[in-house]
Amino acid sequence: MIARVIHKLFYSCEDASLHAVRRSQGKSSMVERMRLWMHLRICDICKLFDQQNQKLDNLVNDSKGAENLKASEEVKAKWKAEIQK
Amino acid sequence: MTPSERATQWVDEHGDLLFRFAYQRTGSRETAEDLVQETLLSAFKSLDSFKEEASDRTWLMRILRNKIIDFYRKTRTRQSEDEVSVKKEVSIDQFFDESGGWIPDKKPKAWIERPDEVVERGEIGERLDQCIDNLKGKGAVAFRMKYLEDEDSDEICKVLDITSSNYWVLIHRAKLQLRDCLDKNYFDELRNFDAL
Repeated sequence: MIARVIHKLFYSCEDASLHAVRRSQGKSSMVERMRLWMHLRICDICKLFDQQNQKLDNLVNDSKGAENLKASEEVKAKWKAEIQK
Repeated sequence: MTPSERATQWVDEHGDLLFRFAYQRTGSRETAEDLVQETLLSAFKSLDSFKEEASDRTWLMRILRNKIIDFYRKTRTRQSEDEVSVKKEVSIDQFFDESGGWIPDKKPKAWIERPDEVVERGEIGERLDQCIDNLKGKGAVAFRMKYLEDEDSDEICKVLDITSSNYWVLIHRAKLQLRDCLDKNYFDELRNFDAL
C-alpha cells in the first residue's frame, strides 16, 4: 500500500530508472527531476541504479576511442571493382 | 584525374569512415558494406551534377545518410507491424513487475570498487564492449549512435524512423541490459573472488 502511494507520487522504480537515464542525457524537466530526487531519497535500489548508470556513462565514454572499425581490404577491392564496371 | 580514378580514390580516403558511419547505424557489417557500395556508385554516377561546394567527404556522407534513412524506410513494411516489433524488442517485463517495482533477481547490487583503477578499467572496458555487442536490434543502434557517436536524439529518431517515446524506451532498455550484463559478467566474478 505504502509502496503504491510512493510510486504514484514519486514515480515507480521503472519510471525512476527511465528518468535517471533521461536526466543523464540532460532531457528532464524541473518537475521530473524533483520527482526523481524524491524517489531516490526513499529508494536505495534506484539510487544504486542511478549511480551505476552514471558509472556506465563514464565507462562508455572511456571506451569510445577503442572503436576502430575498418572495412576489409577484400570489401574495398569489391567496391573499386563495382566502380570500374 | 578521370571520374573513375577519383571514385577509386574515395574508397582509399573515405572508405573506412563511410563504413564505420554505416555500421554504427545498422549494427551489421554486411548491410554497412552494401550501403557504402550503393553510396559510392550513386556518387560516381552523379559526379557531373556535383557542384564542388562541399568536400567529397561531406558529399559522400550526405548520400550515405540518405541511403541509411531509405534502408530503414524499406525495412519497415507496415506501420502496425513495426510498432509490434518495437514493443516486443523494448519489453522491459524482465526487469520490473506489473506495479513498476524491480524484479528481485534484477535489483541492482552494489559494485565492488577495486583499488587498482588501471587494471579495472582495462578489464571492465573489455566486458563492457562484449555487453554492447550483445545488444540487439534498434536498441543497439540507438545506443551506439547516442553514446559512441554523440548523435543528437532527434537525428537518431529520424534515421531509425521512430518516435521520441520509442527512442527513450530503447535507450532505457539498453541501459538496463548493459548494467545487468556488466553486473553478471564482471562484478559477480569480483564478488565471488572476494568471498574466497
